[in-house]
Amino acid sequence: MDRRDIHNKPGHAEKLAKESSDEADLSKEYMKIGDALVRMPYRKIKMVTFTNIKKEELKDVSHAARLQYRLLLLDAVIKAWVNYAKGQISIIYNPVGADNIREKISLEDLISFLEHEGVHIDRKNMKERDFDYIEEFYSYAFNPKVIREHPPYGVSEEEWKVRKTKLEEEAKEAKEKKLEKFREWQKKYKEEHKDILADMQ
Amino acid sequence: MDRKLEKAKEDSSLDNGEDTTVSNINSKRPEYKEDKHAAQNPILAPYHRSMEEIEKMPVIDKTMTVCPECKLIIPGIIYKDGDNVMIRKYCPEHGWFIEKYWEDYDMYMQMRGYSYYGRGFDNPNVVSENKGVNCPFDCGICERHKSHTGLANVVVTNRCHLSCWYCFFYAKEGEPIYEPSVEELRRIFRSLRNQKPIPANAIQLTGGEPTMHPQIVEIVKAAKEEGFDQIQLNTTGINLGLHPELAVKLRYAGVSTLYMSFDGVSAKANPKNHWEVPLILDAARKAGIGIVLVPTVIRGINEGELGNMINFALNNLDIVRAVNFQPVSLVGRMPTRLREAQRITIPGAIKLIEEQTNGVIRKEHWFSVPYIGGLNKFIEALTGKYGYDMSIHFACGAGTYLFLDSDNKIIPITEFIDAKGLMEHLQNGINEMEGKGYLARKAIAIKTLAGMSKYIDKAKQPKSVNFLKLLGSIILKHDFSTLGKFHMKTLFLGMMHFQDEYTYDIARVEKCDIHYAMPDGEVLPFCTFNVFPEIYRDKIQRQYSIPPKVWEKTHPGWSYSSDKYIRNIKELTANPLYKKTYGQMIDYFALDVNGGKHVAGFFNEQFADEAIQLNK
Repeated sequence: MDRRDIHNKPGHAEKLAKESSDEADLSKEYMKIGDALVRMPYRKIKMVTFTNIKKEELKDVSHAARLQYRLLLLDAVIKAWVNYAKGQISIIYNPVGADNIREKISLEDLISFLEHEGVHIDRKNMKERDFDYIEEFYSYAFNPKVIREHPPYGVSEEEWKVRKTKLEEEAKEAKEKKLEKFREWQKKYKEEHKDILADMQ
Repeated sequence: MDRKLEKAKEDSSLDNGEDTTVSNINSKRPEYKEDKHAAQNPILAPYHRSMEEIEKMPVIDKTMTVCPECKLIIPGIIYKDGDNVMIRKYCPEHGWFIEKYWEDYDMYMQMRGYSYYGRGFDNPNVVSENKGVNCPFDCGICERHKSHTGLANVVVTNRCHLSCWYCFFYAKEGEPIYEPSVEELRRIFRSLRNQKPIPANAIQLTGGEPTMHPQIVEIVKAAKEEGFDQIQLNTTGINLGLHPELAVKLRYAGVSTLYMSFDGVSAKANPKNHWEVPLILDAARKAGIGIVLVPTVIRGINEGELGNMINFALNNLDIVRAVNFQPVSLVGRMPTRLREAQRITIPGAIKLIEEQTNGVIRKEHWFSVPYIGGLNKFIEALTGKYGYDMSIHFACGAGTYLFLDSDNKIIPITEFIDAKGLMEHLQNGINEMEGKGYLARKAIAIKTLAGMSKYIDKAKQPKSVNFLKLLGSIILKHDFSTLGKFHMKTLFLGMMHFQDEYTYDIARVEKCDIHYAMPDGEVLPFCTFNVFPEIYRDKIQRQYSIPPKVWEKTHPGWSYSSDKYIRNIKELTANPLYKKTYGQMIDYFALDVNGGKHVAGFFNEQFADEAIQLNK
C-alpha cells in the first residue's frame, strides 16, 4: 500500500471533510500549559517498534533513510526512524480510534505499507505501546535535556567549572539591564510618538 | 468578481474609466523561451556536456546529497568545469543529475579555507539513535548539528496579501490556516532562548506576511520580553507603507529591522512592491526602523539590476542598512532547461555586481561568512564569555561592507583591510590563548591587537574611520556602541544562497545556522524545512493549523480573496514620495571619485508635473 492508496481508502474523503466542517470538535485540539492555552493536535497515540528486520530488505543505509522519508510522507506518521545498523524501525503514529481530529492509520495499514516497500514484518518481533505525545515528544522538544557541555573558546574545562555559575548570573543580570535600557528607550520613543502610542503599554 | 476588488475598481476608475488596479499581485510566472544555442552559451554550456566529458573533469570535493526525484541519499561529486564548480550525482533509479554549485573556481578554493565547525546544541531538541546517517530525514535538531541558531525564523501566519508565483509559503484557496497565538509563540521564543550553549539572540518573524497576524505588535513585545536583542520582520513592507502608524507601534514593541523583499529598482524587475517602496521607506524613516533590502536573484528576471539595487540602497543609506541578495532556490518541479537558465549562484551574482558597478565592487572584496567567526572567536577566547559562532558552510553565504566616505567615495572594507592576513593573525592569537588563564589571555590579546595594524592600510581607509581604534574598543573594552555608529555609515552587502533538491549538499545543511522553530518544539535548518516541506514545513504546520471551514466560521466575513492586497497604481505613482524616490536618485558610481561611469541600467523616472519641484 502506498500513500495514494491510503488517501483513496473508503471514508478518507469523509474524514477530511469532517475535519474541515463545523462538526470538528476543536476543543480537543487545545490544552492549558501553565497560563497558556495551546494547540495540541495529539495526546495518547501509539509507538510501534519492529526489530530483527533483515538487512537485505533494508538494502543499505541510504535506502533505509529513504524508507524513513517515505514513512514520514504519511500524514498519520508523526515520527519514524529506520535504523539500518540495528535492523529496526520505530514509528510514532496516530492510530485509528485516537481521540483527535487528525489523519489516522491502523497498524495493519502501516505493516502493509512496509510490505509494499519490501520490508516483511514478523509480528513476533513487533512491540507496540501507548505513546504520550505531550510528555514524551512535545514537552521534551520544548525543554530538552543538556547532554554535554562546550566551554567558551579558549577556556579550559577547569576554569569553566569555576566561572560558569558566575557567568550565568552575569548573563541573567545583563539580560535584565538590557530590558531596563530598552524600557528607558521606549519612554523617550513614546514621548516622540505620543499621538500613535498613547494607548500602548 | 470579488466585492473588494469590484469596489477598488470603481474607486480607481475616476477620470477616463481606465483600470489602474491590480490584484493577485505577482501571480504570473514570467514567460521563458528556451535558448536553442544553449550548448554554445558559456553560462549554460556545463549542462550540455556528455557524461564521458564530465567524468574526466577534476574532482574537488566529495559530499552526500539526495536524488531530487526519490530522495535517496547518494554521493555528490563536486568537480571543476572551466571556471565553474559543478555537482554531479547518480541515482540508480533516476540517473544522472548535474547542477551548478558555485560559478567561480578560484573563489570557491579561497572561501573554502574559512571553514570551521561550530558547537551546535548542548541541549538538542531531539536525540537521534541513527547518529546522523539518515540526515536530513531525522532532523529536529539533533546532537550532530554543527552550528547553533544564528537567526531563528518563526512563522506567525501562513496568510499573505500577495500571490507570488514561486512561493509555497502561503495558504492558497482551501488550505488550512496556520496562525499561532501569542501564548503559543511565546513558548517557542522561550525555547529558543533556552538553547545551550548559545541561546538564539536574533529572531525573524516571518510568514506568509507577518503583519497580517492581528496581534503582530503583541508578538514582537513577547519576543522582546523573552530577551531577543535583534527582532526582524520578514515582510513585503506594504502594510507598513499603507499604515505608517503600524511601523511606529512595531518599533516601540521592539522591531529593529525590516527584512524587506526588494527584487529590483524598476517596476518590471520588482512587481512585488515597487510602487509601495517609497511609502515603506518613509514609514520606516519616521518610525526609526532600519531596512535590509532582500532581492531574490533569478537569472533572466532581475539579474541586470544588482548594481542598480546597491545604488538605490546608497541613496537611502539613512534607513537602509544592508542589501542581502538571495540567489534563487529552485525548489519544486519545473522544466529542466528553465531551471538551468534561471540558476545563479553566489559568485555568479558577485561577478555581475562587479560588471554592473564598473569594478568598484569586485569579487575580491567579498569574504565568506565563517571569516567573521574568526573575530568572534577571538573576542570569546579573550573574555571567556560565549559569543556567536559564524560556522555556516562557506558556500552558503558571503558578504562585504561598503563605506560611503565624506566625499561620496565608495570604499569596500577589504580595500583597506587584508582580510586573509588579519584572520590568520587572529587565529594565531586564538591558538595561543587556548587553555590559558584570563590575565594571560588578555596579555596575548593586547599583543595580537598591537600586531593588527600591519593588516590595515590607513591611507586607503575612509577618512572618518580609524579602523584599528574601532577594533581595539570592540576587542578590549567590549564597547559595541562604536560599532553601531560604524554600521550607520556603511552598507552591508550579503549573499545567502539557500539550497534546493538539485544543489543539495548535506555537509552544508548540517552547518546551517538559520533555523525555523516549529510549533511542536522542534528546530529545523532552513534547507530541511524548505527543501522537504512534505515531511517538515507543510506536515508540521498542517498538524497545528485550523481547518479552513472552522477559520471561516470563527472569522466572519473572511475569505482567501479578502486577504489579498489590491494595488491602485495610479494613486501610488501620483504620490510625491514615489516621484522623489524614483525621480531624484544620485548615481554614486557615476561620480568622478568612483570612476565616473554609470552603474548598469541607471535611470531616474521622468516626471513632468510639479510634485517633483516641490520636493527639490
